[in-house]
Amino acid sequence: MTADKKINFSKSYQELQKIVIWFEKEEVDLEEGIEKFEEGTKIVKELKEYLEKMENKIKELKK
Amino acid sequence: MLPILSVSEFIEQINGIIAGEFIIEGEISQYKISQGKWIFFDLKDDKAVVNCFATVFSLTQLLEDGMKVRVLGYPKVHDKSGRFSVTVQKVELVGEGSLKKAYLLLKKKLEEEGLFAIDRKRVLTYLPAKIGVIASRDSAAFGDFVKILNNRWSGVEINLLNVAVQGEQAIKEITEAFNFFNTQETECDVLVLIRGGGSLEDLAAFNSEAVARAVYGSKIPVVCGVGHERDESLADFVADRRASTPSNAAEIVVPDRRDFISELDFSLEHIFSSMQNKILKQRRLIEQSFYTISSVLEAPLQKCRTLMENFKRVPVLLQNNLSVYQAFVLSAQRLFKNVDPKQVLKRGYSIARDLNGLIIRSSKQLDVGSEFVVEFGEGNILAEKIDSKNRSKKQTKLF
Repeated sequence: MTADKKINFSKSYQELQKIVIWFEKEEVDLEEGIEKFEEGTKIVKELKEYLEKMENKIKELKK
Repeated sequence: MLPILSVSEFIEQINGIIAGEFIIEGEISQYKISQGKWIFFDLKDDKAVVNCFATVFSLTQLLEDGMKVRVLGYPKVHDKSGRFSVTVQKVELVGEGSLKKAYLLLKKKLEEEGLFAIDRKRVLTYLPAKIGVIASRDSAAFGDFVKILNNRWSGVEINLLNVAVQGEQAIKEITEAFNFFNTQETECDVLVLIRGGGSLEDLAAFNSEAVARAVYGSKIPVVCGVGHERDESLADFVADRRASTPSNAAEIVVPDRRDFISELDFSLEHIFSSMQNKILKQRRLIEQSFYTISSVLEAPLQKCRTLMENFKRVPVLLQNNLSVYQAFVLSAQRLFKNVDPKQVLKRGYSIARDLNGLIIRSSKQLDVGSEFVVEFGEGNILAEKIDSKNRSKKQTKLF
C-alpha cells in the first residue's frame, strides 16, 4: 500500500463501528442497509489489507 | 604574641580558616523544618555529631531521621549564635534503606497531593497512529517493546526520544523529553516511558519528584513500564496506565492483530445477520399485509361466488321440478277460479260500482239521484239512487 493510498485506520474503524451501531436500530431502510453493508464490507477489507501490508516505523527524534 | 581579636573578628577568621566544601557521610537525626523555610538536622556517626542547616529551597530531597546520607556543604560558625554548623547544599541518599525511606516519603507526599488519583487517569486511544517512546535506544526494554509491538500490530509510527534512564542526566533528560513531546507538534496519541528493572538506586530517576511531575503534567496520556513485574516506581503510579514490563506496555498501547481481525469478522457477520433478519422481517410484514388485504377482499368475493353458484343451480332446479311446478300451476288455476269474483256473481251476487268503476261498499257513498252501475253474473245495468223516504211517501200515496 503506497503512502497516498494510506487510509486513516482509526477513522475507518470508527466508521465501521458507526455502521454496526446503525444496524442496531429497530427500523432501518433496507436500501440504505444494503449500502451500509457494502460499505462495512469494504472497510473491513481495507483494514485487513492495511494490517497485512503495513509495517511499524521507528523514527528517532532529536531534541 | 597573639593578637587580641574581637568576637566578630575571631569568628570571621575561623570561618576563613575552615572555608571550603566537604562531603560528609552520616545518619540524620533531629530533623526539623522551622517556619516552613529553614531545615535543621544533626548528622552523626557512632562517635560524633555535627549540626546541619539548609533552606527548603535548596534542599528538595525529602529527609527523615535514620536516613544515611552524604551531605555536600560548607562549615560555618554563625555570628549571632556562635554555633558551628554545616550549611548543606546537596544531600545524596546512601544505601537501599535510605532510598526506600525517601521513596516512601515522596510517595506519601505525592499521593496526598492527588498525583495518583484514579479519576484523573485518561483512557488511551484504542488505535494509536503515533506512539512517543521515552527510553534508552539500546536498552533491552526498548527492544522488547518494539518486538512485542511488531508481533501484535502494524502501521504505527514510533517516535523515539533516546534518554539516559539512570545516572546524573536521567532526570533532566526524561523531563525534557516529556516537555518536548508536549510542546512540539509530534501529534503522538500516547507516550510510553520504559526501562528495564534495577535496584532502587538504578530506578532513582523514575522515583524522582521531577519525573513524577512531568508524567503528571503531560497533556498526552502516559503509559509507564519500568522493570519487572514486582518493581514499582512513582512514575508508574502517576501514569495513566501502569505496565508491569516494557513488553506489557506494548500490549497496552496496541491491540493484537488476530483479536482485531476476529473482531472485524464478527462485526461484519453481525451486520450481515442483522441485515438478513431485517429482510426476513420485512418479508413477513409484506406477507402479513397481503394476507390481511386478501382476507378483507375474500369475504365479498366468497359471497359473490356462492350467489353465482346458486344462480347456476336455478335452471337445473327448475328443470328438475318442472312437473311439480306444472301441478302447482294447475292447482293455482283452480284456486284462482274459485276466488274469481265473476264466479261468485254467477252464484247470484252483484257488485255496485260508481261511474269511475270503483266498488261501492256503502249506500252512504251515493247521493240521491246519482247514477251507478250494478254488475251481475251476466250483464250490467245503470241504476239511480232515489230518495227512499220520498218513495215511501209515493207508496203511501199509492196505497
